[in-house]
Amino acid sequence: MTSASRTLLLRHRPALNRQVSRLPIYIGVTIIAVLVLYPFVFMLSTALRESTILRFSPWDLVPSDVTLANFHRLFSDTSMLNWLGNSMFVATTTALLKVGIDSLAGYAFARLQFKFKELIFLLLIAAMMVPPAVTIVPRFLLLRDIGLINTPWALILPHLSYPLGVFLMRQAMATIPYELEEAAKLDGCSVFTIYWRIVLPLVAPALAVVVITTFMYQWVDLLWPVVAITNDGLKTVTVGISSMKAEQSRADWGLIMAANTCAMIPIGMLFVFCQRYFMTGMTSGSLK
Amino acid sequence: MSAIDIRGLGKHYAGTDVLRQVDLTIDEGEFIVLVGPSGCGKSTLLRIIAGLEDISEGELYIGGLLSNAVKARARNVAMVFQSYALYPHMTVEENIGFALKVAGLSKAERHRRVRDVARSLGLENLLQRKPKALSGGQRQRVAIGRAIVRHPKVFLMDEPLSNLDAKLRVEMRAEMRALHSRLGVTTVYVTHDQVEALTLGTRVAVLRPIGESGNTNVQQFATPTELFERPHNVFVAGFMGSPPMNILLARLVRRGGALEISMGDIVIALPQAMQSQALADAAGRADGYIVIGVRPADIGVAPPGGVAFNTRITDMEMLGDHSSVSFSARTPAVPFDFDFTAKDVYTSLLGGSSLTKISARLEGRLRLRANDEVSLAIDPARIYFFDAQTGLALGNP
Repeated sequence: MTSASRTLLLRHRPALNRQVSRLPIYIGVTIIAVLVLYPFVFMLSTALRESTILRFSPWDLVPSDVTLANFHRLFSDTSMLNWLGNSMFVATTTALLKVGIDSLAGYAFARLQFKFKELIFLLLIAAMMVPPAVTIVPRFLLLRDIGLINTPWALILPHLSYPLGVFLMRQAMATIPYELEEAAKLDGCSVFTIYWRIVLPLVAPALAVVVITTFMYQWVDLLWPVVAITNDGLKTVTVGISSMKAEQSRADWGLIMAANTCAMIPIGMLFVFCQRYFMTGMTSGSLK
Repeated sequence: MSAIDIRGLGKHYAGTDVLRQVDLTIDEGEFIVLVGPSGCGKSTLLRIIAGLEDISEGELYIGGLLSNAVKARARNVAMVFQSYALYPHMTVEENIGFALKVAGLSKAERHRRVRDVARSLGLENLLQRKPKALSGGQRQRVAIGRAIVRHPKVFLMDEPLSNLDAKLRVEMRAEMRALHSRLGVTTVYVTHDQVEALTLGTRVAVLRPIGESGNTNVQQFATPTELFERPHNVFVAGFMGSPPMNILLARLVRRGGALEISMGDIVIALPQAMQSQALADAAGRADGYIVIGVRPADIGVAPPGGVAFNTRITDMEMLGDHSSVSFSARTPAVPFDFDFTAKDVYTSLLGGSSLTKISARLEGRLRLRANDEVSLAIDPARIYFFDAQTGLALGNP
């Protein structure tokens, strides 16, 4: 070995050692990635096969004959478009209403002074500890009594009361320096203008978190829509897909997986679109 | 009509007085500086004028209008915050023009006024930048631009230079003066830096934290020259001036019909013109004690044959054209913030250390070292006298 190549090797040794020491981390991360991705790949693989092929090896992920027949049947033989539309309306309306209500409530808790503020906030936080399943029966009875069962509002209104968003908004708004709001006051702003023009833009990442989590929750929720909606025309996409299995004597997995694939698209698009805000929002407040 | 009139103003927080009986009348176009140490209530007073704090008692008039209950947004005052408080999601242009937008001005008018202000502050090339992409000095200019674009009745500035480095601070001081003389808007400026106060203010209010028995925070409200040359009390004398005044407890001794000041081993005979009855009476009330103040620049190397005292230098710093020299006197020092409202004040001073470091600023390139013995002189006419029981000035020079 020449002295030059020896020098080169010595110079690169620390970097090499670092790579080797990180090997277990890379292996661990790869295993987790495979475990997370496998169901998605399996779903897509099944959706792209002929439904007549009932069984295939779990390792056979690339179909020999790719077909879109399941997708054709999905939109011609089922009410998938209607279900998607219902889900989109419910999830979008809930997300928009929730982000408006939660940000207003969060601002009140973060900045305004009123009687029993701390107590009310404590009660809200305590409400987060109650598992949603516990409230299903009283929720159903309440909505039935006011005549909202079997309407989209039966899906939208209950979720608006879930206080996690208020907590998130309050925490995000509490980090905004008071001086910014004072400067806005002197610039002629009312309390609402300060909220609208100064505070909301500064908590955009937290707003994105509330929108995405609300949208996702409403999109994938199955239990409550099954209880609250029995009218076929109002079924959401999760209820619709689950009924596909129940209505057939033999589950048409190709069709179901095609439906699942379609159901995932809006969520995936929303996440990709808001990813930057979402990641910032998840870490906001962790560093000064 | 005065621009701002503050009458008997008080502010309490949970039973604690922050401001008490503050009376200030500020004329149109004045540059008023509120100066004082931490906790003296200067920022609170500024925030009260801005409408960001409620008034516990007293009255505040802005432009002749009783403004106690007027909301901040309706006062037509603009404020530059210590942290600048620029809106981080807006560009420089949007920051400066925000108040105009809220006021409903047309886009063209906003654009014109923002450009005018940006040009006057040298911000034209930065209008599309966000605050995070600006240096400290640039941010400060934007904050000033945001204040002046509205043509307010009053500018309020809360330690706007404190985040800048020393060199930039000096530059910005000059710019502030130029801006004020160009715009002529009444300005109230808060600082804890007495150099800023003396160099910027047309008048300066020296504030002190309110003690248990203090009557008011305002110790003196006067021009910088008056504050420096005729301080009302020990607090003002000690706070204003850099390096600070030497303040000591001394004895007034009558020797052969003439009065002498005795500070341990340093004795200075008072000229006949300075031997007032008021001085003798004040000393008589305090067992012969009196508080004296001497500015470091008023101590000099004794001229041959002059009235002088010999002392040994304890510390020496050569600073080019002058030297900062320290020596000791065997008499207690009086802290500038000493509470003269307590009982038996001079006896409590006597209970402390009796060895005091005195600073002198000696002109010229002297070849002195620590432990050298020198002959120094204090011009008696430049000595400030204060009552040892009240801390108030007694016919100062």
